[in-house]
Amino acid sequence: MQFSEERTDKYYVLNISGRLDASTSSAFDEKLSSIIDSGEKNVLINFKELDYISSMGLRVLLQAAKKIKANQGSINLCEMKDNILEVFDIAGFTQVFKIYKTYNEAVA
Amino acid sequence: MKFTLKNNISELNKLAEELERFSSENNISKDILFDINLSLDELVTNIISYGFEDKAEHEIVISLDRVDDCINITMEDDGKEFNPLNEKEPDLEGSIDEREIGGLGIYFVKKKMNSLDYERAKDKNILKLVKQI
Repeated sequence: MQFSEERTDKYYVLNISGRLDASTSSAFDEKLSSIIDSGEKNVLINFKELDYISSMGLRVLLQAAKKIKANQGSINLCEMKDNILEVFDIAGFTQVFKIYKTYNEAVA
Repeated sequence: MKFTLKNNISELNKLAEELERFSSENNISKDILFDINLSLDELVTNIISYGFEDKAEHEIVISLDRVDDCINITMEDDGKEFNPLNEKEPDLEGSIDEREIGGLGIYFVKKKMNSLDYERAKDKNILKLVKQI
């Protein structure tokens, strides 16, 4: 799993790629926690290059969402592949996260 | 096909590679591959995380067989007794604050597979899964 980061007017953007499972979730957790701990309140995670997610990935996202909400912030998601969106849907996470179809829609 | 994983979480990469190979050899779509990978990933992660009380090396044996429009999968491990069919369903409602962390993995398996059958025999967990194409 790989990361890159950028900043827009609205968001601190974390681009993630590869596979998010139990073998990569702790690296993702560390990355996301360090962003939240640095005080970022509006985070956008771009799923465009993410091919796979398991419940371990959802666990990290939920923990992070709880933490950032306590700081009056939020985690937003975009560019999810259909298979991944379906996992979010089954888990009821489409109710928990704001999911934008495209990056442009998110940053508009 | 049949392959063996060790009780190390990095083996999830091997699982993904073996399933890619199975799906290309058996002409299985990316969507079906995703569902099988997710289900086996959740089960293997569970076994590796909670199944073994010692620090020894253990093996998880997985076999897959395509018969017509069904993929028959068997998983065997020598961890402690665990029947995923007995797991209670997670609460999927609620806000960020109310949602609990965890409990989703086995739920995904039940949603993605068409049948699950568990047996404890010879000190092993034997789980049979069927995915219809």
